[in-house]
Amino acid sequence: MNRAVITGLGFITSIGNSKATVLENLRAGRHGIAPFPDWAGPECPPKLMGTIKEFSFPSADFEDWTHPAEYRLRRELMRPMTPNAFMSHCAMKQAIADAKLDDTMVSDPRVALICSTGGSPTMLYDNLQTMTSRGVMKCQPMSMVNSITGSLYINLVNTYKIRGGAMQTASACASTAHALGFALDHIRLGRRDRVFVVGAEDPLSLSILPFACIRALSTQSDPELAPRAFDVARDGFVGTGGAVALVVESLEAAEARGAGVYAELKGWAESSDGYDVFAPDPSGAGLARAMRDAIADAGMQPESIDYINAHATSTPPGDAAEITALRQVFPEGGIPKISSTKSLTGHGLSMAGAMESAFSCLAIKEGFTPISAKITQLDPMCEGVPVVTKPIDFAPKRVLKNSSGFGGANVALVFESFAT
Amino acid sequence: MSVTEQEITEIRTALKRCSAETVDAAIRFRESRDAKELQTIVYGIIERYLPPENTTRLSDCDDTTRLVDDLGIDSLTMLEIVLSIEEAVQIRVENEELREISTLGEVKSFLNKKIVGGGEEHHESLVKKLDRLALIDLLPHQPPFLFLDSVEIDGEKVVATYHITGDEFFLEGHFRNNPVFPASIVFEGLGQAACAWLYTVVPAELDITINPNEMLFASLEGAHFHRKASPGETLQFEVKKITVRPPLGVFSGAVTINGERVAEVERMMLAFAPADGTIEASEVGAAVLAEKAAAVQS
Repeated sequence: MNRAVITGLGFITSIGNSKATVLENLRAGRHGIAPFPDWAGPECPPKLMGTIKEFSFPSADFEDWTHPAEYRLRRELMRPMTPNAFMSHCAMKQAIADAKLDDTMVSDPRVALICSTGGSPTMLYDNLQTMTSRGVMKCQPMSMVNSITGSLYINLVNTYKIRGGAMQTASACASTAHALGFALDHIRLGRRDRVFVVGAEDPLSLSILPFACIRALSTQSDPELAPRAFDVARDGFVGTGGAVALVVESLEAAEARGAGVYAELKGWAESSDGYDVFAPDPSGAGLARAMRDAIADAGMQPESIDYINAHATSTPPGDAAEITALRQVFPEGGIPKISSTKSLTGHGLSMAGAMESAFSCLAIKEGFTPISAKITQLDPMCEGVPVVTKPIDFAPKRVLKNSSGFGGANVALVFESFAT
Repeated sequence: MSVTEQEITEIRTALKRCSAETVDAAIRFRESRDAKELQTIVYGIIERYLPPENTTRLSDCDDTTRLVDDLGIDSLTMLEIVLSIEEAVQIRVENEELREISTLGEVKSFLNKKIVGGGEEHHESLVKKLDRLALIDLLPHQPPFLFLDSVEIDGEKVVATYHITGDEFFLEGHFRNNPVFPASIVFEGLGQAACAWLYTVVPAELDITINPNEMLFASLEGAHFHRKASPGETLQFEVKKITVRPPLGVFSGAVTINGERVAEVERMMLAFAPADGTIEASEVGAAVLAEKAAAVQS
C-alpha cells in the first residue's frame, strides 16, 4: 500500500492569509475573532466572527469584492466564483507554490481534487431573489454555477485545470476530514499520485447566522472570551470562513521530485452516531469508534498518540461528548495533550477538518503544540484531560485530528512526523 | 413619456460600471424611444464588458467587427451584454435571435428592428429567413450585382440587410477618390428585397409561377433620398406589399442605417412574367396606368 504525505499548505483564515502568519499566530496563541459589523443590531444575538482580513465581499457582485492584488483573476475566471471559491483559489495558489508544483504536476490526469463547502447562501439568495422578483431571464448567466454547492470544485477545476477527477464531500463539519480520508484511500490504492484537499466557507452572515436559530452560536461580544472550548462558561461556537488547501501526495511521487514533507497522513476512520440530526451522541460512542479505528488504521496503539487536535467547537454538549469519547479510547491517566484551535480561529464548518489538519501538520513540522485559548476555568468534566491552555515546550510526533458534523458524522485522522 | 425616479434607478443599476454617457443615453432613450441613442447605449455596454487585454477601440470598429473573433467576447459575456441591453432598452432577446448576431452591425440592425418594429411579438415560425447563398439560388440577380446579405420575410413585410464592404466595383468611379454608395443602387437593393418577397410568396400563395431570370422595375413614385451611404455601413431595407396583380407587384419601401433614414419610396412597382413567358412592355405600361388610377381613386 502506498504511503501518503502532506507536501503543501495554503491558508486564508481568520488568523492569517499565509503560512508564515498562521504559524506565527498559532505559536503565539493569537486569535482572529472580532465583532462582525453586520451583527451589531439588537435583532442579532451573535456578535463575533472569525473575520477574514484583507478580503471583503460586500455584495454578490464579484466586481465589488476586494482582495490582495496577487490573487487577481481574469474576468471570465472571476465571474463564476463564490466568495468561498475565490478564497480557495488563493489557498490553492499558496499550496501549489508551497509544494513547488508546476502546471503539469497540477493538471496531470493522476491528480485529483476533493473539496467541500457549505455553498454560498449569499450568492444563492441574491440569484433566487432576482429570479422570484424579476424573472429567471433577468438572472446573471453564471447564477446557475455560483448558486450550487458544487461551485467550489467547478471553479477550482476550471482555474487550475484539474484533470484527474473532482468532487465535494458533504458531511457538514466533518466534510473536509472526510475529504482527507478519501484522499488517503486514493493514494494508498494507487489510483492517484496527488490529491488536492480544499475546504472553504463564506465569512458572511448568510453562511453562519443560521446556526443561531438552534442556539449553537456564542452570544458573547468580547472576542477575548469566545469561543472557549472546554471552559465551563463556553456558550456556543463562533463561526468563521476562509479557505485552506492541502497537497496530499504519494510518498513515491514526493520523493521522486524531492518535495519537502510536513507530515505523513498515516490513517483514518469514520463512523456515524445514528443518534440525532443535530446533537452528538452524549455517550461519545460514535466518535470513540472513529478514533480507535483510525489509530489502528495507522498501525498504532492509542498510547502512541501524543497530541489531539480536538473537534471541540465550544458548544456545551459537543465538547462534553468529545471528552467522554476520549475516555473510552485512552486509558485513565493516558489521555494525550489536547487543544481546540477553534478557540483561536472560530469554527470553519466544512473547512474545519482541512484547516485543523493543516495546523496539525505545521505543529508536527515546526515542533510546537497549539493551545486551547481563553480558558479561565476548565470545565470539571475535563479532569485528568491534559488540555493545553498555555504555550508549552512540546513537539508532537503523532497527532490525532477529530472532526464531527451534524447527523453524528465522525472522522478521525492520524498524522505522524516524517523523518527522511 | 416621462421617466420615473425608480426607472432611472433601475437603469443605473442595470448599467452599473458603464460610462455616464451610456447611462444618460439610456435615460433619454427611455423617454424618447429614439433609435439614435441605441449606438451609444450598445457601445457603452459592450465596452464595459470588453476583456482588459482587448486593444480594439469600439470607435475604430465598423459594422463588420465580429464580437467573438475581433473583440474577444465569449458566449457568456455575450449573455451578460444581452442582459444589460434588455434592461436598458426594455426588449427581450430570444435564443434564436441571439444565435443570428455575430457582428456589431447585426447587433445594431437587430435592435433597430426590435425598436422601430414597436417590439411586437414575432411569430418566428412564420418568418422566412434567407441568407446570401439562398438569395443567389432564389433571385435572378447575381453577384456582383446582388445587394442583399440577408432577408427575412414576415407576412407582407420584408426586412433585408446589405453591408457596404467598400469593395463594390462601381465605388471606384462613384466618386473620384470619394467612395459613395450610389442612391440608384440603394433603390436597387429595395427592389431586390421586393423580388425576394415575390419569388417566395407569390408561387406559394397565388399559385403563379414567375420567370426565374427576369424581373423589371416598372415605376418608382414618391422616392426620396435623405442621407448618403458609405463603405463600412449596413443598409437595412424594409419593404411592405401594397398589392399584387400580375404582371405587377406594388410595394412601399424604406432604407435606414442604424435607425437613420436613408431613403424612402411610397410606391415601387415591379413587373414579372409567368415562368414560361416574358415581360411585355405594352402590357406593363397599361398595368402601371391602371394601378396609378386605382391609387388615385382610393
